[in-house]
Amino acid sequence: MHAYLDTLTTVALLGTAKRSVPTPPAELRHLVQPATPEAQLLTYAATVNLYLQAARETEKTARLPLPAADPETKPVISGPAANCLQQMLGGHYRDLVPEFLTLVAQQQQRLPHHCLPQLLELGHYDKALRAGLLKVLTNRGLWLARQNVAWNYALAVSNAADRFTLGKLPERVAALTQMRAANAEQGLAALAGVWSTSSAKERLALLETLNTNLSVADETFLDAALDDKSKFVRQAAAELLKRIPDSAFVQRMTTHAKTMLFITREGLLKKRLAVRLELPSALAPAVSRDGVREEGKPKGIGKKAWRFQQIVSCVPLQTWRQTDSLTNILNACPEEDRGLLFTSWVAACEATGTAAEALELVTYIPSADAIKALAPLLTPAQVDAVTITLLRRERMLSRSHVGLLLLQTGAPAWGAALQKDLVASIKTSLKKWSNAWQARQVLELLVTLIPISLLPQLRTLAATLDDSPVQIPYTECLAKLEFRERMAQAINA
Amino acid sequence: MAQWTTAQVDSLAPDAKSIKAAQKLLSIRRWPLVGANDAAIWGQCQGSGSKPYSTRVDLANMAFKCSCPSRKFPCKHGLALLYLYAQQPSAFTETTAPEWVTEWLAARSERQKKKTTVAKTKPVDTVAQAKRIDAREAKISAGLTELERWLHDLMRAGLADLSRQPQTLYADMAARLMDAQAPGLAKQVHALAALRPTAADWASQLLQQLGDLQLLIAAYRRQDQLPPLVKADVRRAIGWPEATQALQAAPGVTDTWLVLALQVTTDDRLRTRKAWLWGQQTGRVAMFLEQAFGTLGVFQTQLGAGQKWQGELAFYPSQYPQRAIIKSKSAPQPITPADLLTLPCYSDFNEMLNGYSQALAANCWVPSLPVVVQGLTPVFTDGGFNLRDAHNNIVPIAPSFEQSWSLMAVSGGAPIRLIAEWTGAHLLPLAVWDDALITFTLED
Repeated sequence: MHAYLDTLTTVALLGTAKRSVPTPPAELRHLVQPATPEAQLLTYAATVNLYLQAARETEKTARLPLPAADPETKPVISGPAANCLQQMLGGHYRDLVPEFLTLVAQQQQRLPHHCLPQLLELGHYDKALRAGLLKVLTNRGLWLARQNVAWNYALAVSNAADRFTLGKLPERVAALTQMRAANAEQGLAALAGVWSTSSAKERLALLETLNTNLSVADETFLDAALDDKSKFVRQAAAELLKRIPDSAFVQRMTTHAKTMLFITREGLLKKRLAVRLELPSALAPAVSRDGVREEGKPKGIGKKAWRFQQIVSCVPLQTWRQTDSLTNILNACPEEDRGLLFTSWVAACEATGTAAEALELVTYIPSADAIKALAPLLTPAQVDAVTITLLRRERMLSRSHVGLLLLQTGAPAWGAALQKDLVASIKTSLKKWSNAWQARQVLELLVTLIPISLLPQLRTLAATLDDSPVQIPYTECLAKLEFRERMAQAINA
Repeated sequence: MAQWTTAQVDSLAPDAKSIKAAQKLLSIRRWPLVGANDAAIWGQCQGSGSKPYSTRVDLANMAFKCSCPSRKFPCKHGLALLYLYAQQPSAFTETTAPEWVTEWLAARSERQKKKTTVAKTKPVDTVAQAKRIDAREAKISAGLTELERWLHDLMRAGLADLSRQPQTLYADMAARLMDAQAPGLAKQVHALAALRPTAADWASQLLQQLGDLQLLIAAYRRQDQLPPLVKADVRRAIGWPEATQALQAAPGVTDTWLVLALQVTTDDRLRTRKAWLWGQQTGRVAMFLEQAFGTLGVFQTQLGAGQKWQGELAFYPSQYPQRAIIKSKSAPQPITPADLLTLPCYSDFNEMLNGYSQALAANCWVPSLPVVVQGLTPVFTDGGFNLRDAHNNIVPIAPSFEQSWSLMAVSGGAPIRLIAEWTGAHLLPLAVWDDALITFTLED
């Protein structure tokens, strides 16, 4: 029948004017025979096709079936929680997916299987989502990630050593980070094993993983990397070395710094604090080897100041605090040099500082740059306290409000005092915002940051907004907060 | 109060934009007033204007009304009110409906009564009806003659010559068949344009589909010699409208019906919703079709995939009855895993294909076969996604199906029991049980 249908197709392609219709097989001869060749051709083709459809057989595959996924051990999230996830995956409040994943991980639950492909695909494009996603990926998710190359990033968790050896660069970086987190020494040994055979791009990417569990044990390797062929690798090694306070690198830089920054006690009773900066006019070759460079100078700063900043930023603040507090030293510093010293210390604090040092600097000048760099070092209680001060200093909230920046970059404890001050700031701002756009900018930021326990207080503010231009953005903000509340309730139920 | 789900509300939306717009109104703060009773839900939504919009939904007959100027139907306020009702039913206190709701419901009820009275009292003009049928028969007959001439011209010149034909070849013929009041044929001709001339089997596919048209023409001309049920199938394939009044009066099939699939397709501005219903006791499978025109149209029957209800269905006469109307239905309940185990099930693809052969033997115009097949494992090969049965037989998953990875995730490499539609060439997955019933609602 198949051969006959092929012949009919050939006739149909050429046309009955050029080819005659072949005699049908015996099975079709009992049918009513159409009068014209065209009708015959069409009728035979349709009938043969019907015969073939009715007698269709399936193909067999010789491929071995895939090994099945291991059984799940965690309970699946509730139906309402799955509904919330479906809505987010459909595009509604998609930015809340990381929070959703965190809540699921906290409750030791798992995601519905049919949602996994969409989440893995989101993680493929959005690297920031991966860490949260990996925490909730159970056996089925890992099995699925093995079936699609684009989702292999998720597999670094399961078999880091193999993925480091066999994977592509992003996978290898993820795997080495994983190994460093589990066993720093083993991670370093793995890196050292491939170092000489890796390209500059690979060396740079892999070297940065040493930031996980960085310790003095990594110093020798990093010191050798200061002589690497690649400039970028050398710079990365220096950046890492400055994060090891006990390293010889930091000692060398401290020696250099002490020739540029002089903090002394003067006067008869040696009580008056004197601070003097001597900016280096040139770089010694040894200093250049340690990653201090002439290029890459930020705008608004001179060459000498740039050298000073790079060197002082490698020195732990503890070195200078032996004389007096950071605040007093900054106060004693000549006004024209104070900004440079502050910036250098912020960078030093970011590398090796403590929470107390970070707090002192952020309180001294709460600039956006200082907050961005130092907020991660602050304790939650410190973030609360500084934010309260900043909110009281400027009640009107805007996108550039440093208090909001601190809430974004730090980890606030969200104590009652902070909540009260934030509500007071929102209340004031609702009255002062003159248009919806201005309000939306701040509210869209706040709505994902603030705890849902603020919802009742924020609801009461809505009653005061009749005919206000900010009523719609504020209501949208409340709707999103209510969604977060429903989401949390559904997962915790 | 009946339980609504977000998915059910989604299915009422005129388009995806409306769903997004409605979801922005889901704060109860935007609704200074919401209320509900057994017949309706209502609310006032604060928009950008000074006065809030008054929105009401007739739950019994699924009708919406809103004071907003939107031309979409239902508007975002109507949808948002239903979403709120589905997600936060506790916010809707049982109260006496305000006047603007009761007046609207009363007016609707009045109109409905009038319609029914007119329909009951108005005698059927049999002479005029016969005239209309004769006129349509004449038009269809002329249309068939024209279609046959068109087919024969194509065959005489050869399909290789088609590249010289205008691009509107199929659309023109389909339009002429619509004029001839043969929409079934018009649809088939229109579908020919979807065959890609670059495909390897284009010529044989095209020949087979043109051949189907020739068979239908021949069958229609001999309809008086055919058994009544075959005649009904032929007339349906041509596009004769189906009389539902007689069906309403005829005895139906009472069962617990499981709604396992909803598919919405849009042709021009006509939206068609196809639901597959499985009878739990009888094992019958029914296709329920409903149409709505444009963005203003709404499907009248409240159906949600994943629901079951007691009800009576009347099947259209056919050698292989599939299409049915819903005569009555009770309040819906969610489907449980035990419900799915009661459905008649094929154990492998050979059994499924035997079932398809029987369906074709009964009605060679049967469009597709809804099936439940157990022991299937989705597999990804170079050519795309396939399903493998317990004997290593494989069939392809329909290329139009976009959720094959979800099916893989549900399976995890282990066999699953799949509810699907066999189209003759592909399996189109409709539903599968995992932690809950996963239905693949398809919308183009």
